[in-house]
Amino acid sequence: MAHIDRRIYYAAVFLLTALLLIYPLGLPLAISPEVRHTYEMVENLKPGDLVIINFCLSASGYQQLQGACNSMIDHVFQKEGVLVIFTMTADQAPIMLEGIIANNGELMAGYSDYPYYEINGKQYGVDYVNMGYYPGLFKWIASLSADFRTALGNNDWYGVDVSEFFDSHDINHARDVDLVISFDSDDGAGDFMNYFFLEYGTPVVQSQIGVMVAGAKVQYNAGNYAGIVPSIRGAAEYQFLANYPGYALTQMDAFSVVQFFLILLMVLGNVGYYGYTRHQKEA
Amino acid sequence: MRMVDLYNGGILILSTVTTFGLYMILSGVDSPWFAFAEHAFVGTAIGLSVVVATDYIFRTIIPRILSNPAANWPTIVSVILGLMMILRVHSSTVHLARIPITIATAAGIAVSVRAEIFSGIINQIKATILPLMGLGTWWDFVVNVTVVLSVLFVFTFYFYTTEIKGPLQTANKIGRYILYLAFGVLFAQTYMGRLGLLLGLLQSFIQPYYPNGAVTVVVVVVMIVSTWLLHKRYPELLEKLTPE
Repeated sequence: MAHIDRRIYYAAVFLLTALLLIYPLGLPLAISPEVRHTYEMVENLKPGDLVIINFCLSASGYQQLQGACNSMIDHVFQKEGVLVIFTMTADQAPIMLEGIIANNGELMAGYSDYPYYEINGKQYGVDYVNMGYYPGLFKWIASLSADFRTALGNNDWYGVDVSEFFDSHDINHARDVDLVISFDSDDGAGDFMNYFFLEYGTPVVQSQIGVMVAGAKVQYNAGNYAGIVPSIRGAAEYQFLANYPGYALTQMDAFSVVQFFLILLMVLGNVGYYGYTRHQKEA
Repeated sequence: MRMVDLYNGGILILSTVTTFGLYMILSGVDSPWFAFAEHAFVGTAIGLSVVVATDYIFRTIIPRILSNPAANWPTIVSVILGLMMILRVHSSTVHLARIPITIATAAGIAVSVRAEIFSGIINQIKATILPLMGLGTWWDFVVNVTVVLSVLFVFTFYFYTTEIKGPLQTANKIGRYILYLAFGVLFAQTYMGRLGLLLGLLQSFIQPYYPNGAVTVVVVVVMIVSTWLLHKRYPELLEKLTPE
């Protein structure tokens, strides 16, 4: 076994993944309490509530969070009367958000390009705005929490004056926000937690890539995050709860089987190593 | 064929070449596709950062200053400090670049420390002070006892000023094993994340089967065959196409 070319393992993982994506097994999926809690928070949003959806997401983590982005944004936009502000704290994020918006919405009548998309009946500029990317991470978020108008300016990501949106709904600081959802491959939600939750009590939800899950779970257990949707697994659970027809659910079969395959390889590898070293000693 | 189909087809081919080009590193052989993908990724990411940052300055900073310079004097000071960072490029002016770095560091610490005390220390300590009596289920009891004991054992691992012997040595050893478990969990999470990336990418390449699946198969076959040919027939050309 020690002499098997490692490329065979890589090829096996590739093939196994592709085959299970094409022919899913339909394995059962347990819903974790934290994802259910997050779903219920979004479900309980009331007309007039304001949600900030932040993207602190780079291309390297997009594939993990695409399912959560699609299903959670679709769910928020299903809630009647709920207002949404999109912000971004990663410079690659605007491209991804445009993809998500185009996937869940359609161009408003009389318009041919961004930002004028209608998502589940919500109109751009009336029900939601896309303020785009702002550098500075936690310094910008701290500034935003205290004064929206200074931190955001009057124009959106496309240069359109959206001051009317903020004026008509009297949106000024973090206290006016009812929920923050951050899709993170960097720790955007952590900064929102520090300056929105700890200072103003605004609940913060994070959907994060796999490597950040352990840290996010610690913050969730400490009560700093109101909810978490961990990586592609959380996305699948959320899609199941929201009845969203997404890919994350079908990916779970491949996920489970390949994880099992890895465990099997680790057990076999360790047993083989034990036998190999014992054989060497005897020789 | 419509222009939009051509555009989407081009995007699909390019993303397939880039993705599978990067995965070619797993084969352990030099590949011009890997070289292309690696350099394109780095160059694109840097180019995008520069463009977005420049756009932000022209979209936000300059209009703000021009609209009312007197009222926006802090923004003007910030711009000057930002420009002073460029002074790092010459040895005779490098000391001046320390001024904006110092201010940025100090401001960053001042803004973050107050919040970190609560999120990183006080709330975390509160989260480990858990009730052991009057819990709803026996499983809650098991979870709470595990958290409390794990924290105590791991603390003993970080005793540096006391001689580790007797019961403390046992606690220290248990703390070490708990840390091993935690590292194992972190590794598993990392693996889960990487697998998630592969899954997401493969899903977009194979579904729908036509055109995505068909295009992906054709492109990957071309990449493998061309790399094989370069290795077997044109090693000099391969060397030129795969710069270090």
